[in-house]
Amino acid sequence: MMKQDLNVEQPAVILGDLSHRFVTPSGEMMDVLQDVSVTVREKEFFTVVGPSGCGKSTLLNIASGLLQPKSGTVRRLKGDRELEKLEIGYITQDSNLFPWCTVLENIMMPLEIRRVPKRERADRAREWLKIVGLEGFESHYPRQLSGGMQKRCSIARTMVYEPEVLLMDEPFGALDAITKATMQKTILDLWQLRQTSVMFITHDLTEAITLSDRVAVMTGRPGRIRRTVDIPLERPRDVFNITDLEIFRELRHELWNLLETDLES
Amino acid sequence: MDAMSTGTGADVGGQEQLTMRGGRAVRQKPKGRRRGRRAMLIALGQLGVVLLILGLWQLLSGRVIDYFLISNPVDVVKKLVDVLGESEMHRNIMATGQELVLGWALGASTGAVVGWALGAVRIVGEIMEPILNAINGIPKVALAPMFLLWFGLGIGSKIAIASMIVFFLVFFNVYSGMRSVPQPLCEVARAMGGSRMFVVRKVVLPSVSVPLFAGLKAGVSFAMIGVIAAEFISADEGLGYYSMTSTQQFDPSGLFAALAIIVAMVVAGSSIIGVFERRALRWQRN
Repeated sequence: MMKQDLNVEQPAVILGDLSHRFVTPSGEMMDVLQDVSVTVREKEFFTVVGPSGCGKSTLLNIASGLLQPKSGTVRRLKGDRELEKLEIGYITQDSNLFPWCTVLENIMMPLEIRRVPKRERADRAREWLKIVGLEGFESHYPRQLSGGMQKRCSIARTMVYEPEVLLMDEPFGALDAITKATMQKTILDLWQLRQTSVMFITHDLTEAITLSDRVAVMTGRPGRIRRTVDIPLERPRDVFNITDLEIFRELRHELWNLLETDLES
Repeated sequence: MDAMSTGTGADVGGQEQLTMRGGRAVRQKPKGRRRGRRAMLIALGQLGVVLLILGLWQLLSGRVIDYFLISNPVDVVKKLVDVLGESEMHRNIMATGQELVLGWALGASTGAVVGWALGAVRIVGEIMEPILNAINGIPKVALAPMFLLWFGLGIGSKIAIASMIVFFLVFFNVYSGMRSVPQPLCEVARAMGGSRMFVVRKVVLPSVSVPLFAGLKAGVSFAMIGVIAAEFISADEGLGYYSMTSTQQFDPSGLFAALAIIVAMVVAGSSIIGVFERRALRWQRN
């Protein structure tokens, strides 16, 4: 908890009054986001949950800079400095590794783009390989890895360039329950180690509570923020047993109710 | 943000890694042995089939089927040994080999370049593809007489036919390969901050090289079809010319000897490309 207390007021991602709409294939306008305001604090683990189709991913795409909102402001900060695009890490549900590159080459890729000297590239990539537990697999190709290991590799590939802000769009959605829990532990350890600000998208309430400092609940389309809930659970958290806690169940109940109000209407 | 160095948390996920490794180690051995036995069985089976065909051929020739129609394996081998020592045959092999290599190279390079260009510039690709498709519908060998007229009776017309066939093969492979470059990977490379050139080098090129190599390899036998067909029509040297004259002189052994050399050349050509292919597409192998 201590590290959050240091930076409570310092924002890392500010999304102000965002609205966005798509044109559907049939030519109709579809409002996806309506007046969404979110502030992710520095070094905070912030999660957005919501029913499917509520615009969570759109929100993250806007936060990443891949998508321009129709209206509203987007700021990514480190102190008073605006972050550059390259300082933002983005992890999606698909691992999207390069099948023709080995695990090590995949992890080195962002460093190559940033023109890091060759020797340093390999050293830094090896270090992350170790951190995510892929030691001994550096010469393997992605298709020789399990889904969980591919995920680890893609996390290492994102973390290797030390992003200030980490955006994750249902990163563990495609994994089995056991691998998912292990990956949640990995990501929490990394987050604690690297002190990154995280904006995480999921539709899994258990995952949201397990990982986050705060959880924002979105309404159905057009997505709005219904409420943001504090998760006052101690850190470090035991991802495997945390669901047994009474307070966990209460939080889950609270979040579920927030979602349900929307499903009924 | 502190330097990432310290390496704490090295144990994250260590357990999964161990079991994976263990699982693999246990599984691999018997699988490998079984695979070895299977490969042996297949090789023996193939040898058996070939011997059976040769045996039947030897047995039936002159008894059931006239000798001058099919010769027999023993005579073909004798003939093959004889002609391989003659300078006339060397000249024929050189001629066909030259036509094959040049025709293949010309067709493959233009096919790859045009396929790449039309794949990269979408609108031009969409204009040209159906037109090229229609032209491709022409049996290329039927154009051989016209090509003889245009490019003369020498090596030029043979190269033209062969390269035209290879062109279409490689073109369609590369073109469709360009259109199925995995877009998410391009986006990932861009999101990392990669330039257009970087995306081409790291995503487009490796992904297109799969169909490219398939086209290059198949292109060898296709080029040979063009070369031999052109030689049939008009030539004064080459293996196609030689097999034609052998047939006309009722020398089936000569014909089959020439066929054997043709097959050997095609196999050699595609094996050479196969070596490069295996090196370039190492990531695809088990």
